[in-house]
Amino acid sequence: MARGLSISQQGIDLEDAQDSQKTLDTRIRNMDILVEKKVTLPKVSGVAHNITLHEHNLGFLPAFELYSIKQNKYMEPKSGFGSVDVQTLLYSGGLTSDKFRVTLFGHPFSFTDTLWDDNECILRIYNVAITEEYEAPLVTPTSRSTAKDTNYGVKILADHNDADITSEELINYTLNTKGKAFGIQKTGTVIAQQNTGGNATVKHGLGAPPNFLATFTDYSRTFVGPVAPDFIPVLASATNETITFRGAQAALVANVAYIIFKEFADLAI
Amino acid sequence: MSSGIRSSERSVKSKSTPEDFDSRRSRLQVAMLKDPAHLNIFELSGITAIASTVGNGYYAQETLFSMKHGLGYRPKVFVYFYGLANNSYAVGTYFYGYGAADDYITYRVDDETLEILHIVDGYDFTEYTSLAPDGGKIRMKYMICSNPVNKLMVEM
Repeated sequence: MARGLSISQQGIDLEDAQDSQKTLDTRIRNMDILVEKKVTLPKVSGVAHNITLHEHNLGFLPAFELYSIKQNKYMEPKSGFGSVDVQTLLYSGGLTSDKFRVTLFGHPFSFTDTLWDDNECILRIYNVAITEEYEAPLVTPTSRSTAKDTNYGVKILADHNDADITSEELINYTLNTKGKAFGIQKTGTVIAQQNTGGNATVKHGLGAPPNFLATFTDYSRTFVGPVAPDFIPVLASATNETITFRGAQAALVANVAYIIFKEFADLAI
Repeated sequence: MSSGIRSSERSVKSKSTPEDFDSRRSRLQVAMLKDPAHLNIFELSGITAIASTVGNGYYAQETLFSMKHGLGYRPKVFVYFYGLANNSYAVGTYFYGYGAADDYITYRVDDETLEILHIVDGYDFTEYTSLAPDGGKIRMKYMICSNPVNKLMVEM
């Protein structure tokens, strides 16, 4: 038995709503932002570094991102996470989070991208345990409605500015039935190895190919890399029931942490 | 003082977990009733076999799609590409080729505009012709979030 709160997008009957059309369903995890802060990276290229960007103390490996304001790009996850030990990870370099902190570290020769030196960035940490084997309950209504502008809905103002309840802009709300939320169907990890041709397959069970995000984790699930929506290091082939990750290069050998959304890749509803 | 709704499987005084909902937190959202639409899926056409040459400084670019998002700030965007030829999905960047030169489709967004670009970048020394077939097509889906990407929510 499941209890909770469920709210569909404006103009859609709750009984007709796909999970991806629910503004809120407390049974389903979502891309809620736990931490959002500015950090300035010191000069890191060519020097050994071990810099804590944020102590989150969440107790799980979170989905997170680092966005460069000047470069207008995300820091990409580094490869090399298939290695077992931290020492090898240090040589790979890059941005990671463990269960307690987000850290930028590396060997002098592993991080040579001077574009990130003295760079003001935004760090965002989501309330998503990306390496946890999680699967949401699934509701698949037969009808297919789309959002409509009606006089009925729910909205909750955000604390961060002085907007009032008549505002039409979604940025002024933390919940608004005129908006689509990013409900999560599945998170977890999968290993792409050479003997699988660099492919790694996950069952999602959504009935249609889904949208997704992915990054690298290490063999022992101690660290996880950032999620960079403008470039992730895997491609995917998807069916109605599975998604297969494969390398952007010829053969991927890595541990992949993924988020599979309840959002359908072939639909815009 | 802040008020709102919080849902938790345990005491609301206990430490937050991924199961919890707290309406004081911002979340990723896409406005569903915008014009032009902030969520859309369609087939990109007009992709051509552009080339990086010594004449263009080893960098070639063509704009495949452009729209005004109407937000007045730079939003967080998700773009998914579906390769019709090889049944593959890519997030943010779809590669036709990479190596000494990179040949790819990607997006750029600023305070006013979302663009989809086809780029061949020879990195200052490589002449390279795109592997994209002339007249090529690719299906794409974009989601423009109401969340800013280059500013904090508290700065909005």
